Amino acid sequence: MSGPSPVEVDSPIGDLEDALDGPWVVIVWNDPINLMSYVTFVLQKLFGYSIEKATELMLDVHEKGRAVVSNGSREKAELDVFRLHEHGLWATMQQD
Amino acid sequence: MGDGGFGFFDKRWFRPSKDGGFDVAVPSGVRAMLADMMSDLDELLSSDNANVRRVFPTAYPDDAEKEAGYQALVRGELIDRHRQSAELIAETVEADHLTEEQLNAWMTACNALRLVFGTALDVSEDDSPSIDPDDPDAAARVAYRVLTEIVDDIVQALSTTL
Repeated sequence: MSGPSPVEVDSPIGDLEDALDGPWVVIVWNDPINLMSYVTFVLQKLFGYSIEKATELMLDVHEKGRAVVSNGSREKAELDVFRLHEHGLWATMQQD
Repeated sequence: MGDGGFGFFDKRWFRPSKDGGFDVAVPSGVRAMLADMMSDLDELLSSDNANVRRVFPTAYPDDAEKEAGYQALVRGELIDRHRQSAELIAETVEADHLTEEQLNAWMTACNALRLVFGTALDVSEDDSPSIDPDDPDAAARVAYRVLTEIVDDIVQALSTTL
């Protein structure tokens, strides 16, 4: 008689690497096209920031050229970047 | 960043209505312009046109391999979403009323078009608000300004839902 057949599992190595990766940050960069009002609104819409916090971040982008708008695992950061790209913001991600 | 519409139009084009959606009062000439431009958006986004590069920004500036993975994952998805939004505008361009979801689609599609026009016109934050009628790009600049007004107006309307 045979025992239970071995079950194939996807290697967890990829997820493990991500977990050990350390935090990533998402950065929004200034550009001459997007409106200040639009950037502020998108930050509120996507991240639930108060209008005060979203305005502060937007002004950092406008005056300093860039601002960190979120952070987290690589997977979370990539999703945040995608949502920002969908709204036309120039967002990148890098390890913290 | 730009500082918003130039207030040329006194009446708001998008206003929250009592039932939770939005009333739309966009002039017919602008609606015609929008319908026209949205029909080109899909083709434009799928082309090699250098002016669409701002619609597909880099995610990993420091890692070419991760960047290639990201673009492979999202490029098609981004194109699809913008196409759906453009189609939605084409279908609702004469509407007097939009849902919040529809208005969001109007906003992202119009903003995507702003990115394309803005890139082609090489706009800067210091650009003068006036348009020289003898400028060969005058029509494109007018379209860009009208799209700007639309996006700013939609943001004002949608902000009431936050």
